[in-house]
Amino acid sequence: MSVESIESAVDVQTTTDRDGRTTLRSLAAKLPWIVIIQILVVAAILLGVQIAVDSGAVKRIYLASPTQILAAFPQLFTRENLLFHLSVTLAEAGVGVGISAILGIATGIAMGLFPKVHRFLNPFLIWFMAIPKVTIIPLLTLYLGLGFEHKVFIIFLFCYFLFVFNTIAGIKQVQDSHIKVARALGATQRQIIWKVVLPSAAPSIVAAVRIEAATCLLATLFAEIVASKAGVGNLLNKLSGIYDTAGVFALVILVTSIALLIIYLVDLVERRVLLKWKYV
Amino acid sequence: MPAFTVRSLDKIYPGAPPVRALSNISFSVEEGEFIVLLGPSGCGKSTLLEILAGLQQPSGGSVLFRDRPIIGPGGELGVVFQDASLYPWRTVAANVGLGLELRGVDKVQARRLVEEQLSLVGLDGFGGKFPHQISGGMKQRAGIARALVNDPDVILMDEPFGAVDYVTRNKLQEDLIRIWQQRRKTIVFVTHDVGEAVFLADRIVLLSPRPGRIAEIVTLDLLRPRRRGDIELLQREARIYEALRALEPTATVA
Repeated sequence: MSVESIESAVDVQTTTDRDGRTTLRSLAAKLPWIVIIQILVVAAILLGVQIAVDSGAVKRIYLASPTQILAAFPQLFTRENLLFHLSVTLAEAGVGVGISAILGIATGIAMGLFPKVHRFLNPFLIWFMAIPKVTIIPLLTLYLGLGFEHKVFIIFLFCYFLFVFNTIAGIKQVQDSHIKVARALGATQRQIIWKVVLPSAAPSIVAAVRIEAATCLLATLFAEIVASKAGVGNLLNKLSGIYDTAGVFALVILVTSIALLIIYLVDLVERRVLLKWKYV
Repeated sequence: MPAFTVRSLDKIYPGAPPVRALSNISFSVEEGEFIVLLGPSGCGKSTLLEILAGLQQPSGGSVLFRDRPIIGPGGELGVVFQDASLYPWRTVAANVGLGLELRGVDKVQARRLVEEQLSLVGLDGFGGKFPHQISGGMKQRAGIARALVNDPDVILMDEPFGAVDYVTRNKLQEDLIRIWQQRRKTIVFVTHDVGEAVFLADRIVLLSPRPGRIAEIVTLDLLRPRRRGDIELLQREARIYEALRALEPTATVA
């Protein structure tokens, strides 16, 4: 059985480039096995939770059944004004990660290109990066209040440094021979930076974007849960405060879906635009 | 007027202890000549080529290009590097057109010139591919096209065919001779392959290692086109092998 299943798994992958008929047949015959088992596992878990909650074996404040969670969604939109909170959170995350990217990449370019700038800034950056963010949040609340600026600054603290260091690392990766080619063709220093150094650093910068796309959402929710007037994190606090466990689960599912969607979109932009050359 | 005049050139890399890469090199390269710098690894032949290209500065002596000292790379020479060094993020056509882009040549004209070079090196229809999609031999062809695009009179080549298989290398050598004859270029070509040197060169500058100095300059008055396996070619090859063997430090038994 095990040997057979390995063979069939290999088949599914390799038959794709042979001819269409075998591909379809092997897909229909073999692939669903894994998918069916996956679906069964998920269904079993959901059913188990449903039964556990419905029968009263687990108290409702600890766990919500799938049907209760489904029922909580419409209430989130109507009673809790979810769209408003969502727009607040996404705006904070977007502005925060945008500012981090612009300033971080700029800092990284300056440090990557000029050793003196690197020597000067590096110790400061490492100090700031090392601060456990939680410890300065009370101070930040004092300085910036509970609103938008407060969130943006915290997101900045979470996201800025990776942009800086990945940009520097990318610039360090530029191949000597690539620069020689440009110099031999008479390129100016400026042309070398724009046409050789920055394109060489692009994959490393894009890797930072990919990580930050998920991190900025985490940072926003973290900041909102700690201190806020609005946003998904704020709503989460409120719902858990009133023991609306189904609502909390629904929010978690929603936020997870948004995170997945963002990762998918970043992936798409990377493949189609930023690093298109890698994927052809 | 020779293309290059090199007089008592020295190159020393600072350090502890300093490394003497080239010592007292003197030779000249005539316009239209195909000259090969041949020697074992460590003889400084790549360093010498980069000095001719203006990518490195000599420590002593003088290097003149058309009677003027070489200050830095100016784009009037074409350079082909060992590993083709194409930019992976650019298509083949965009790689070949790099020199035109740097000079600000207008796009329509640039496209025409790029097409011309691609077809000269036998890469018709491959302009839209990325470097990782083409073979090693094709990458070198693209590297040559990139060096040709500014129409330089002189092309400097640093072991350009070292990393491709035997059959491809032979084909590339023949195509290079064709391009050289068609375009009347001056070529300085670095290699450690004796067969390649004898097949290509008008003159071979034989360098000895550590520090690199000129051991011998061999003039090949062989007819072109040359045929591989020709008895005269093989005799020249044998003589150069002998000269190379004489350069080796005599082995001492410890």
